[in-house]
Amino acid sequence: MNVDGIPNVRTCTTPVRDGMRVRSQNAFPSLETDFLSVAQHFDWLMPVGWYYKTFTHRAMWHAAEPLIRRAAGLGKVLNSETREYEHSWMHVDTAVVGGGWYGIQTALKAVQRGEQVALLDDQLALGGEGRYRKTQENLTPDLLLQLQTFPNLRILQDSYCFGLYEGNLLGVLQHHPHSGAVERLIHLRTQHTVVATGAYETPILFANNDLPGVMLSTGVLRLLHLHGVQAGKRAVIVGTSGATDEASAELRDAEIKVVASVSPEQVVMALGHTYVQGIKTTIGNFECDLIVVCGPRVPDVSLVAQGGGTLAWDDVRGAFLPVFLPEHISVVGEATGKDLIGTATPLPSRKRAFVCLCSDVSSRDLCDGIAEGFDQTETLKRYTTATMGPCQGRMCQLSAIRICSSQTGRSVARTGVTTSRPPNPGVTLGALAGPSHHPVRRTPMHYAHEKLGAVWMDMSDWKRPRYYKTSSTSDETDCVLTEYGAVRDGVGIIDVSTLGKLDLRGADCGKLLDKVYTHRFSELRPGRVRYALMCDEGGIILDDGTIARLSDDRYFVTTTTGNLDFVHQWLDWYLVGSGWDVHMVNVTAGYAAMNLAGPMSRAVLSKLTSCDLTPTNFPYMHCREAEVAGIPVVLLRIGFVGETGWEIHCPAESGEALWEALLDAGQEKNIRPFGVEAQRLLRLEKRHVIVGVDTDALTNPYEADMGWAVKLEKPDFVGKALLSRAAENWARERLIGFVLAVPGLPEDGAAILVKGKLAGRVTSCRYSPAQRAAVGLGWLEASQAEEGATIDVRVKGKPMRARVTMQSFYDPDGSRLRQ
Amino acid sequence: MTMKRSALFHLHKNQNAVFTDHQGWEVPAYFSPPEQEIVAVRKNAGLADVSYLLKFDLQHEPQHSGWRLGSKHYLMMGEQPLHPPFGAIDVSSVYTCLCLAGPRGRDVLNKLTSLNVSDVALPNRSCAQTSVAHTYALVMRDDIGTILALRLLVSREFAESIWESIIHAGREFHLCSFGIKTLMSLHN
Repeated sequence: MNVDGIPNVRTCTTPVRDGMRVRSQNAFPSLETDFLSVAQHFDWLMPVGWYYKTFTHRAMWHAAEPLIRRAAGLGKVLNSETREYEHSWMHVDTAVVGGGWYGIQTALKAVQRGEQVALLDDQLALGGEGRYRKTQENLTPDLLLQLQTFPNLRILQDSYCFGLYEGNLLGVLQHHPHSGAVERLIHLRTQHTVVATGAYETPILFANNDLPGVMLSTGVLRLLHLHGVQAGKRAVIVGTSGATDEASAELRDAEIKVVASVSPEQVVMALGHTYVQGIKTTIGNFECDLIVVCGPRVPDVSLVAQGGGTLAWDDVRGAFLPVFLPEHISVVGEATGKDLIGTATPLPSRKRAFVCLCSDVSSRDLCDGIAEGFDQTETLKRYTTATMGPCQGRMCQLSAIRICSSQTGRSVARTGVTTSRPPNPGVTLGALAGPSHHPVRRTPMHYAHEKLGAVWMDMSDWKRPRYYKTSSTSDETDCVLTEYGAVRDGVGIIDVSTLGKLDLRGADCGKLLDKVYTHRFSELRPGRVRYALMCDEGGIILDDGTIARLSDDRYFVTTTTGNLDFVHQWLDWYLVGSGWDVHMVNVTAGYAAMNLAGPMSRAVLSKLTSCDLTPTNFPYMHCREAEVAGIPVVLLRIGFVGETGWEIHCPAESGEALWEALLDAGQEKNIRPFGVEAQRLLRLEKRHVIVGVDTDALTNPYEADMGWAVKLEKPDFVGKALLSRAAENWARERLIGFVLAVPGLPEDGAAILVKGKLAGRVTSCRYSPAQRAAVGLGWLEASQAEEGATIDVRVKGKPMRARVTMQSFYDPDGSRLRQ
Repeated sequence: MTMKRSALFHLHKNQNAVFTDHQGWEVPAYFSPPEQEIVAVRKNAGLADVSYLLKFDLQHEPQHSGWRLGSKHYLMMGEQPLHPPFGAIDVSSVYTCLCLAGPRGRDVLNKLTSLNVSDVALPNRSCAQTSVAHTYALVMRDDIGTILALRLLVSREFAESIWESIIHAGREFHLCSFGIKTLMSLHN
């Protein structure tokens, strides 16, 4: 049934609530008038394995699948999920699974030993079958009250355990833990698991046993005693002698007329169309509206099997019972099977009886499957889908095994039981997914950007302004070009707080950096900054950034936004065991960072600081610790965007104040905040590479035209051996720049052609106002990569002429950077 | 002199927190009348932003206010003035520090981390590194008198996310936000 939009709910065990919406599934238009039921008259046309045998071509299956799923599928998944699911963790010494008499007694003993105990019960009230079976031990109100008094006992009701995982981790699903959530998935870590899951009654197989009105005796008693509902007026009881006594007595007490009590061998079939109207037996037909089945009881020991225990067939008790238990698992009560009396109920003849009621698998389907060669329980299960429905074989596994055994002539012990795997029973995907707590990373200036009209982009978990929308009419291109213009001609500011930042202190920092980066840093003078390129042992570029030496024993390292964690670990890896005096801390979140760039940037910054910013006293690639607007900062004179500029790092808690102070100071110079998109255009004009965008997992520095950043004369560093070879053997491909000769804008990844043949690919491309044409970077066969060479770049499927250049597209000699 | 703002400043401003100056930081003094906050924290649980605390990363054990994170890794944390030993790196700005206090604090945290935060596994003045609401966090138990108090240190950029996750997880336990005025009263 479908309950509140959730398919495959076992309504037979689900309590009714106010406002619950219950619908039948796989019935059209309703269960009472089900047009789809016509299929049962043609079941001979649809033998087991019908799908495999009929839809032999992929196209046929695609056409038929939606119709079949509608008629026989396992329900519809909700696309718009609004329910709240939760996760929770619990740690105890002992977890008792099962809230029946034995479970409670075991929990009590553990509690009295002083252990932390969790008692799990899938029912709404403790007591197990004792609540509705007079023959079972029942709980006294005193005992129930006593249970509430132990602070070290947690009772989880309406919570089922769906799996026992490695490390004694129990998966528990709790329904309606509180008004704000529908389900809670509890990760229950325990030292010891007690399986007190009891046993359940299973059906007896006869024709038409799926008719409404055919019920297990425990179901009838549950309705009677827990809900005050008579399951029928006239009942026929089916069961072996002795097994039916309890049901007979109870039904008579409840004034349900017992028309007859018959043994399973005597039953021929249930009579009726949409519900039970009678039963046909070898001793005559009886009119009734209820058939009470007293079937064999099966211990619920799937958790034992999941936890590494061994089950073996017990002929006397007629069940698979635990014979070996791992140290951390014990079994108590009816789950041990000790008190069971094996009753071999008859297996049906060729006449159709439903074995698996969830998946509509009949005894005939199983026999056919075995005849076709699927004669092992594991293969038979997969071929027929018996035991694979919502109840996961609780009702049908034993019958399926016995049918397999009788058809193959093997004993039940040899036939064996299928592997028990969690989740059993099933769990909703929402519960597994849990609450939607997706972490978001925000820079210290997040709300300042929002005020300025930032249009956000996600850069992994970070939120970064893509561009700033200044008026409702301006589109992205206009905004980006305005921001670009501000940086080239005036002054702009961008939030670069997402850059990875590492603070390194100690006498041996230079040694570590020399070892891991390709350039030389031990000789970098305090107050200087250097571009830093990191390669792996194969000479492949891993990351880049800048390294500033703030004092003799202090370096400030920046990394790309996405690679910080990796770079941190990489440095740690080479540091561990080296004995070097290095103290390294990831301070990314501790610094707000902004890049003030443009020809007017010096004029703006100098209004807020006493630090001498003149080109002579603060030249390009130098750094200083200073105060800006009264806030302590680290100033790096670097220029990713190709203009005079400073990367300013300040304590994160003052980031917003500094950002606003700079915007205020720049107002008269028409300062503009600029976003990632403008930055990408500005850096592309300068031919500055973005690692991971313009480089890939095969790129070495020589191919990327960055051989100048590799100091092969250093004694040793990561990647030296292969970089030495790469320096001599000229590259297979080279990173080139190109300028499109005709209007058009190739997409990133577009093909580069030489004389009509594929010769490379575009990695970045934008329209360059400086060149008044589209410019880009791309990889090209080394033999073609010559200054001025002509190539074609594919734009919307058409080749367009472009010129190769190895120079920057803007300010090739870098004079603007150094001003 | 500009005031220092924690990563939660705007979130708390939107919640109509009343702010105060604490050691140069603009921090919430209270969200509801402090008397109500005190009762709520003592009875259930409360969450406060104490990011203004000074924090230092060290390779050697400090004489006081130290938390051992690894074999040669310590964190020193406390109110001003705090005098770190030579070689310490100031990480005060790196971490947002939250204080989850009250008897239900443990229940709230159990919904966000697999770490065992029971009294036995995490006694007072002990700490652990774990994931809280899918974010790396340091969990430090530092009770306020007899009131259970867990300090959570998370990288500053995650502050809003984790604050919202904790508040969301704490709804069933009537978790409230509380300010520094309430915190001071609890300490007294």
